[in-house]
Amino acid sequence: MKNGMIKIRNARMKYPGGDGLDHVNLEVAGGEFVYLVGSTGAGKSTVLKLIYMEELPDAGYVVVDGANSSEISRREIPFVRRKLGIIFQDFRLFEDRNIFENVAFVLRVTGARPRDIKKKTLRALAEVGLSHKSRKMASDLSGGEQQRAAIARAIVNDPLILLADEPTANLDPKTSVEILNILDRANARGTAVLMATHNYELVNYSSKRVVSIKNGRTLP
Amino acid sequence: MMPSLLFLLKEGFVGLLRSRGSALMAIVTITVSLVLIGLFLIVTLNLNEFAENLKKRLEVTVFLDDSFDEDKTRRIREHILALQSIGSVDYVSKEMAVAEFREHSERLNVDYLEVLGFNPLPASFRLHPVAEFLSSGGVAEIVQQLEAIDGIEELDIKYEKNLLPLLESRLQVIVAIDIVIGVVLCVGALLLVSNNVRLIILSRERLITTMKLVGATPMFVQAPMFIQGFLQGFLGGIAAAVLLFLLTELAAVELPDIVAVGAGVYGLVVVLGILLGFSGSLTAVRRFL
Repeated sequence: MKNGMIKIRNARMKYPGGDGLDHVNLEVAGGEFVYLVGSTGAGKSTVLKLIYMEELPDAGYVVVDGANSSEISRREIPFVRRKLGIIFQDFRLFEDRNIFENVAFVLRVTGARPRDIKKKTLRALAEVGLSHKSRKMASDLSGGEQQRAAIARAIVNDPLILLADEPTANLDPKTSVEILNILDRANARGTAVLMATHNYELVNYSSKRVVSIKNGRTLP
Repeated sequence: MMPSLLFLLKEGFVGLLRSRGSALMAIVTITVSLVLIGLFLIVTLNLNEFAENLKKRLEVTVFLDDSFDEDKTRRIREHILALQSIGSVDYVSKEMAVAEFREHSERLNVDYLEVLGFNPLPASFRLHPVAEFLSSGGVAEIVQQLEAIDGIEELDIKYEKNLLPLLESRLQVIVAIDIVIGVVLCVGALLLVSNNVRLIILSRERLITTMKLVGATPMFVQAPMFIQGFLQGFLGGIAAAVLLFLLTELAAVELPDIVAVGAGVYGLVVVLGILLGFSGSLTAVRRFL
């Protein structure tokens, strides 16, 4: 297990409106599964944004696989993101292309060979059980299927860590269990998972590590 | 590894098709602008050609004193021919001058020579300057060189003094008007292409943000926009070149001698279209992406 693959130290960040993070400390090791739990507006999504560097901390720092937010240039950020797999609550699939192309896009930006793109994309789609819907457009799929497609896009490039932002928030209980099973399988293969959720019930029944966040502060 | 160029090209083409309404408007604007610029260019080239033909007819006449013998006339001719500014020299004897005079004064029905009883017309040299000296400055230099020749005085030299300055000033005005109109049309087309790309960017904002979040570099996101701008400019340029070709072919039926357009003009129109399209998208991408 790779220690300290993600490290957030004394991070503070304020949005122009006043919300943000006050004092965040978090560490995720390679292969670990961590729940980031807190109520709506507690700062869970902002913590994930710090990790994929859509936001940079005003104070403190974030390190992702050796890349430090206080030293990184804008030009380097895309290359950090290629080591991550991001799953959004609202799926964020590309509406202008089919599911195969949605998943393959992540590999195309890296300049992967067409043969590898096809092989890895089909494997990721099979992993989430969507091989038969690869030619469908995102709008033709149900919510659960769209989230599975989004997970396929997140895992296709074998990321070091999956960042899942409330991935089951808009789904029914049965579909939510399916999504959690897919994340578990990815974790079992060695991919670290950091899942933000406000579902305390889910967390209480889990044996995985839990980090709580409240009013922009992670609790010890 | 670099992203596949083929994939980026495909993204550019597909993006253009998706926004075909506004893209068509940008292409039409580029076409209209380029056709107008092309027409001005063709008219200017023709006027320039016409002016050059007029200039070629310019002659400098050096009148010779009646007292000059054959030997002196020959020496003056040799001096003139030695000048690099002069291409050829024609000698017009007193008799030839009379014959020309009679030809021109036929309508008057009076033979002045018979009345006068002698030939008052002097012999002369008609000088044809080389092309490089066919300008007001060039001819003034020729006059200076001629005055330095023994036997030629300022009053002996005659030429159409007003022709060249007039042609030059008129051409300058026409070229200035061309430039102003060309710049105005280019800026208009550039703004429209830029606005079209801006609309594409705004309508795809969420998509573009997600692309960046899954690891796309700014260049990967921008390249299809540049390709779209390039394609709009290229298509506008091709359409303008075809229209200009048809217009000049039509005009050639009525004015076979005047309209003469080389392939270079059509090439220039296409290149200008590409530059317009590309710069338009570059402006929008720099500002909004």
